Amino acid sequence: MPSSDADVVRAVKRGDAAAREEMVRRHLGRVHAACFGTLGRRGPVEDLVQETFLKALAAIDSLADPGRLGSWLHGIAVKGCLDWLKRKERTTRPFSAIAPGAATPDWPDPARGPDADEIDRREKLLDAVERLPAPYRETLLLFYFDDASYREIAATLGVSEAAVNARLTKARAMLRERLLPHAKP
Amino acid sequence: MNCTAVIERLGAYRDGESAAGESSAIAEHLAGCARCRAALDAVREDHAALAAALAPHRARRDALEARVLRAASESGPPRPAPRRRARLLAPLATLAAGFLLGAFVFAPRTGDESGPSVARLALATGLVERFDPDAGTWQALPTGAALAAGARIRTTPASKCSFESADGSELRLDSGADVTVAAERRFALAAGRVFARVASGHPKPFEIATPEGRIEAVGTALDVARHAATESDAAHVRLTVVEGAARVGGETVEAGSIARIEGGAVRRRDPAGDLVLATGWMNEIVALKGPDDAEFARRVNDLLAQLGRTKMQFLYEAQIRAMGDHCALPLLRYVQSDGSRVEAARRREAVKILADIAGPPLAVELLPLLEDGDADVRALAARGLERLTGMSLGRDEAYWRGEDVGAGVSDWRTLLTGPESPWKRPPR
Repeated sequence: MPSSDADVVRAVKRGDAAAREEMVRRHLGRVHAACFGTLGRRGPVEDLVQETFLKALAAIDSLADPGRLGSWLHGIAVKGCLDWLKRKERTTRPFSAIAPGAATPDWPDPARGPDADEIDRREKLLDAVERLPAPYRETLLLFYFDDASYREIAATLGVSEAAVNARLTKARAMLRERLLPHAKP
Repeated sequence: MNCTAVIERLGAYRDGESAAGESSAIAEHLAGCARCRAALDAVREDHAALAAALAPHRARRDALEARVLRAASESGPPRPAPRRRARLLAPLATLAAGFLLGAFVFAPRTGDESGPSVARLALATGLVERFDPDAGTWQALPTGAALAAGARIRTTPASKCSFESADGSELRLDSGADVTVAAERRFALAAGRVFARVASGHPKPFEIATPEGRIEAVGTALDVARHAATESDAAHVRLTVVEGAARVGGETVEAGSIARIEGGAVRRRDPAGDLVLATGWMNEIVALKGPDDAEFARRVNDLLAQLGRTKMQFLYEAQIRAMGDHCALPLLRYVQSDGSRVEAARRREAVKILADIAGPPLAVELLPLLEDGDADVRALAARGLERLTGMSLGRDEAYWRGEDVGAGVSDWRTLLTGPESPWKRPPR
C-alpha cells in the first residue's frame, strides 16, 4: 500500500484502482468537512463530496505537486460547493437536493438516544456553527469531522499551526458566546 | 504563565496540541488556579457538546465512503482483466457461499438441543434467554446453565453475557445478540455482536457463521458485529481481529484490522484504530470478573494509558468510570507508582476519577495523597474523602492547595484510622 500522498497520486496516475480507493478513504473526512462547511447540513453535501472525488480523479494529471493532494482536494471541494450555490441561485431545484434522505443524519433510536430537548440544542449549535465566518467554520469542521491534527489542518488550509489554534479558539469562543453550555447568561 | 495566557491556550491544551514545555507550564498554573481549572472544564464541556452535535453527521462517513468508492470505480479507468473476471464471478461465489452457510447454520433445527454440553453461561449482566422450540417461546437461562449443540440464546437490549465452551474458549454476547450454538466451537450469529476468545491447540476449527460469511479463527480474539441492511447500506458483518488472525472465504484478516464481510468474502479492510474503545462494550462483562482478573487489570491499564494523551480522552475517561469502583484499585496503584509522577497531567486525571469512584475500603489509601507534592492531587484526594465520609473536617479546597496541610492530614488520619473508624478496613 502506498504510504505518502505523493505515492498515492503517482499510483492513481498509473491507473492503480487500489490507489484510487486509498485516495478516497484517506481524504474523505476533509472533503466531507469542506462540503458540510460550505453548504451547511441541509445542502446536498454527499453529492458534492462524490463530485469532488470524481472531478479530482478525472483531473489527477493536472496536479503538479502530488504532496499537496489534501489542499488540492479541499480547493476542488470548496469551489464545487460555491459553484453549486451560485447555480442554485439561478435555477430552482437541483436533482441532488431532492434525493431522499441525502443529508439527513441517522439519529440514534429515540428510545436510547438523545431526547427532543437535546436534539434541539444540537440543532441550534449546528445552526451557530453554520453561521460562523468561513475560515473559522472550515477549521472547526476539519477538526471535528476528520480528527485532523493542527498540523494536518494547517497543511490543508495553507496556514500556520498557530493560525489553526487561533481560529479554533476564536470559533469556540464565538459559539460559547451564543449558546454552548458555558455561555454567559 | 498568567491566567490570560493560560486561558488563551486552553483549547490547544485540551486538544493535546500544546508544545511540551507549554503544556507543563499550563498544568502547573492549573494546579494552583481554580478559575483556570473551571475554564478548562468549560472548554471540555463545550468540546463534548460540539462532538455530540456533529457525531450523527460524522457517522454518515461509512455509507458515504461506500457510495464514493462505488462511483469512483464505475468512472475509473479500465481495470485489468483478472479483476474484471473476478467481478463477474462474484455473484456465483456469493451464491455458493450462501448455500454453504445455509447448510451449516441450519443443519440442526434451531433450538433443538442434542448431545453433551458444549457451552455454559458463565456471567450475565441481566436476563439471558434460551429458545424453547417445543413451546415456541424464550425462557430465562440461569447462570451456570449448560447448553448442548443446537441451543439458541439471546440477550435483551439491556443485558450482556459470557459463555464458556467445553474447550476453554469464551464467547461474549453484547446486548441484543442472537446466537445459536451449532456444535462444539461452532456458533451462528443471527443478530448483534459477539466477542470470541478462542482456545488454541484444538483440532477442530473455531467458527462463527453469519448470513454474510463464515469466520474461522485459531488462537484468536475477535469481535464480530452483524449490521442489518439500512436505506443506504447493505447488510454486512464487521469483523475486528483483536489478536491473532481469522480467515474468511480463503482470505486472512490479521490482528488490528477491521474487515467488512459481505457475500461470503472480505469486501474491505481498515486498520482497527483503538481496540480498547472498539471492544469497550465488553467492559461490563469484564468488570464482573473483578479486580483480580488479569484481563480486567490489562483493560484498566490500557484505558489509563490513554488518559491525558488523546483528544478523545473523554471517551476513555467515560469507559473507566463505566467500569465502576472495581477500577478504583488499579487507578490507586497507578497513582501510587513512581512512574506516574513524571506524568503529572495523567496522574491528576487518574486522581480525579479515583476521587469520584473509590469505595469506602479505599478511604485510608487516599490519606497519603493529601500530602502529595501536587496541589491538584491534594485537593482531589480531599474531595474524594469528603464524598466518602460526608465530612470536610472544616477545610476547603484552598486549604488543600496550600503548602501547610499537616494539621488537616493529621485530623483525617485520626478520623479514618481511629478505634471507632468504619473506614479502617484495608483494601484487598
